[in-house]
Amino acid sequence: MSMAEEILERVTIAPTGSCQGCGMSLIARHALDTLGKNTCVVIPASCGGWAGLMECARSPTVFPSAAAAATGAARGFEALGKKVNVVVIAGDGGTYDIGLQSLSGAAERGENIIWICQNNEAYMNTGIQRSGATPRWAWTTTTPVGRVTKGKQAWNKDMAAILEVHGVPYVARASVAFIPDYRRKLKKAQRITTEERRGLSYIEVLNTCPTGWRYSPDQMIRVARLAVQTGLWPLYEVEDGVFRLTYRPKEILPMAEYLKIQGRFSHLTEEQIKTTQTRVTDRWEKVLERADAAAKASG
Amino acid sequence: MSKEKKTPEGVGVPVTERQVTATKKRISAWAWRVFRPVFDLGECKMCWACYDYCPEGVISKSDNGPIVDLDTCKGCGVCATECRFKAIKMEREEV
Amino acid sequence: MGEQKIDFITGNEAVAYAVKAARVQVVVAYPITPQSPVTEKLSEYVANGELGASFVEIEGEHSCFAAVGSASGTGCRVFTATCGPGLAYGHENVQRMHISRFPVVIAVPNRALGTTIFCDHSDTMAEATCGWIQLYTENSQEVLDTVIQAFKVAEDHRVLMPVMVCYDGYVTSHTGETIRLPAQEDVDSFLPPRKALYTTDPSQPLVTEAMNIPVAEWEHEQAMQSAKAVIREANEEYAKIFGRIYGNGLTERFMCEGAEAVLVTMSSATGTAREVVAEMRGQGHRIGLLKLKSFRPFPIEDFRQLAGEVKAVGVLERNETHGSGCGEAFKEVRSAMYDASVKPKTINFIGGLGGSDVRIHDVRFACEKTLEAARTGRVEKEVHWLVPELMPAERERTGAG
Repeated sequence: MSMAEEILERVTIAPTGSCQGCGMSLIARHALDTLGKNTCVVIPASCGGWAGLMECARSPTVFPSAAAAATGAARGFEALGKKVNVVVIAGDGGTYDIGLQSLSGAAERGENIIWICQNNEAYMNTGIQRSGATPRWAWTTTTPVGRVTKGKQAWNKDMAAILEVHGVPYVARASVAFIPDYRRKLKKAQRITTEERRGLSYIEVLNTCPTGWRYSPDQMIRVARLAVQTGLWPLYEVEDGVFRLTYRPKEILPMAEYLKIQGRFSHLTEEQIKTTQTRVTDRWEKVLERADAAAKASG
Repeated sequence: MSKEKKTPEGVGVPVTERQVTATKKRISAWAWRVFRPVFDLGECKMCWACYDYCPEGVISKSDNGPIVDLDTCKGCGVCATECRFKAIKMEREEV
Repeated sequence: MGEQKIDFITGNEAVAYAVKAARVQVVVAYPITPQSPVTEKLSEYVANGELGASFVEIEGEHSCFAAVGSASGTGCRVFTATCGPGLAYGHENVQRMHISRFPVVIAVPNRALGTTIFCDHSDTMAEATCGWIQLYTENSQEVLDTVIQAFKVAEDHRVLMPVMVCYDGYVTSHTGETIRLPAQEDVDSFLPPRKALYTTDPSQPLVTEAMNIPVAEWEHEQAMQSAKAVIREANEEYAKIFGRIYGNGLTERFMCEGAEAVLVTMSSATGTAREVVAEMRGQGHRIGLLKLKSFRPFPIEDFRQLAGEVKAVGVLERNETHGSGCGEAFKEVRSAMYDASVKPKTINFIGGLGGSDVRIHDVRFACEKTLEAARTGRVEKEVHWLVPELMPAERERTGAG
C-alpha cells in the first residue's frame, strides 16, 4: 500500500464533534490538510459542522446557499487580488437537494470553488432522514421499514453526472478507503480551480457513515472499500470532459457483500438485492466502456 | 519516506491553546471511550495506514511508529481493523 | 467642489450612478421588476470598464444575499438590489446578516408582496425586524445621495450593520427627474475606500459569526442606536460637500413652525404631501409635514420632541399589518410618544397599497382629519383606509378617483 504524501502542517485540529468512526472527519481533515492554510472554507448545515477546529478562514452560510456564499468569497478575494482556496465541504443534502440550485448556478457561472461533497446518503446530522442521495430501499427515519412500505422507494440521483453535464472543468469521485487517490484529486482541483482559475471543481467522496448505515464503526473503511470493489462507487475523474478511471478493481465483488454488512439494508429481499446488483453491474459496465473508449481516444 | 524529518505535533497546530483545551474538555473522548487502541510497535511496519485512516487524525508519526493521543481518541477501532500487520489491538477501557 | 453635472435620469439610473461613484467592488444581482434597470445599468458600466467591479449574475435572491454577505466578509465594498418577492425569498439570509457585522448596502425599489409588481412598503416592512438600517427616500436625487451616504454609515466601525435604501417602485424608480450627479473626486473624498475591521482572510482565521449569543444581540442594538448619530453626521458632511441636506438624516420637517397638527409621511408620498401642506398653510391652516426617513433605527427622540409641540399627529403610510389593525409606522410613532406628558392625538392613514396612488385628495383628507383632531381634541376614527371603495364621500367631494 503506497503511503500518502507527507502532511507537513495540519489545518484541522482534533477532536471533532462527530461520531466514532466518522467518514466526514476523515474527508474534511484530508481535504483541508492537503489544500493548506490559505483556504476559506464554507460548511453548510451538515455533519461537516462538527468537523472541528480549523486553522483557516471560514465564511458562514445558511443551508441552501453554500455555493452562493462561496461565490461571494471567491469573487471578493479575487477583487482584492488574493489567491485563496475557496472550499465548500457539504453533505449530500446541501449538494443534491436544498443546495442544488445555488451549486448549479455557481457551476454554470464558472465560479472558482472547490466543492467537496461528503455523501453519507441521508440527512445524518438531523437524525438520518432520507435525501436525494439515499439508495433505493434503504431504511432512514423518514423512509422506515413498516408493514406497508419498507425503505426509500426511489432511486438516488447521480450528482457527479449532473455536474459533468454543467461542463465544469473537473469532476471526480473519491473514497475514504483510497486516501492517496483522494489527495491527488484534491491537488488537481486546487490546480485547476485556485491556481488556473478555470471554474468549479467537484469531488464527491462516499462517506460510509456507521451511525446512519447501521454497522460497527470499526468497519468504516472496509465498507468504503467494498463500495469501490463492487463497482458501486467507481473512482474516476473527468478533466475538461476527458474521462479517466483512476482505480480498476482486479475483481468485482458481489453487491450482497456490501449490502449485508449494513443494517439499513437488512430488510432487503433477494429480489431487491438482485435488482440492485443488475443496476450496479450495468452501470459498472458502462463505466468500463467509457474508460476504454477514453483510453483509446488518448492513444 | 518523508524528506523532511518533521514529526507533527500530536494534534496539529492549535489555533489557540485555550481553544484546544476547551474543545478537549468539552469532548473529553477519554471519558466515554469504551475501547482504546494498543500498539505493538514490534509488528508495525510503518505503512501509516492507521495515520491515513484515523477519522480524527489523532495518530501521529514518530521514528518508532504511531503515537496516539489518548485525550482525543474515540476508540472507533478503524485503525485496528485496517492494520494489515495486526500491530493494533482494541482493548477495553478499565473502569 | 467639482462640477455636479445635471442630467435627466430615472431613480434606477440614479442608484446605479451612486454605486459606480462609490466604487463598489462586488455587485451581485438577480433581476426583478422594478429593480432590473439598476443591475442592467451596472452591468453596462462593468462591461464598459467604467466600474471595476466583479459582477455576479446570481441565480436567485436567496443566493444573492449569501454571496453579497460573504463578499463583504472578504473586505470588499458590495452592493445588490432587490424588492418585493425577491426580498422575501432572500429572507433567510436577510434576517441573519447583521450577525456577522459585515457592512452591506442594498437598494430596494419598494414593491408590494403579493401578485402585483407595483409599489407599497409591505416588502421592507416585513424585514423591519431583521437588524437592517432602513432609510426611505423621497425622490431620485435623495436615493442617489442616500446610497452614497449609506456606504459611509454601514462601514463606520461604530455601526457595521447592513443598510437598505428604499425608494418607491415605479413612482421613483422609473420616473425621470432632473438631478445633479456628484463629481467622482468629491465622492472619493466623502467616501474613502473601506477599512474593514475584520475579514475572512485566511491570514488571520477568525470566527465571524456569533451564534445568537444574547450579549452579541445587545451589541447589535447598541450599534443601531449609534447609527443615529452616524447617519446625522453623514447627512451633514454630505451637505457641506454637495449642498443638499435631508433634515437631520433621520427625519425632515417641512413647514412645522407653529403647527398644531403634523402629518408624517414616507418616501414619494412626501412629495405629494409638500404640495398639499404648502397650499393648506397658504389657506391659514396650521399643518406641518414630517418626513420619516430612517425607519430603522427609529428616531424616537425626534417624535418625543414632536409630541411636546403639536396636538395631533397623522401617519400616512403605504403598508398595513393584517391583524394589528394599523400600519407599522403608526405603531412606532405612537410608541415613541407614549410617555409624553401630554400625548398628541394620533390617526393612521393607510394608502397607496398594491401600487395604488397616494393622491392629492388623499393627503388633503389626512391633513384635514389630523387638524380636526388637533382642534377638537377628539379622534372619531383611529385608522382610515384611503381606498376609493371605502371612501365614496371623498370621491364625490373631490370628483377624483
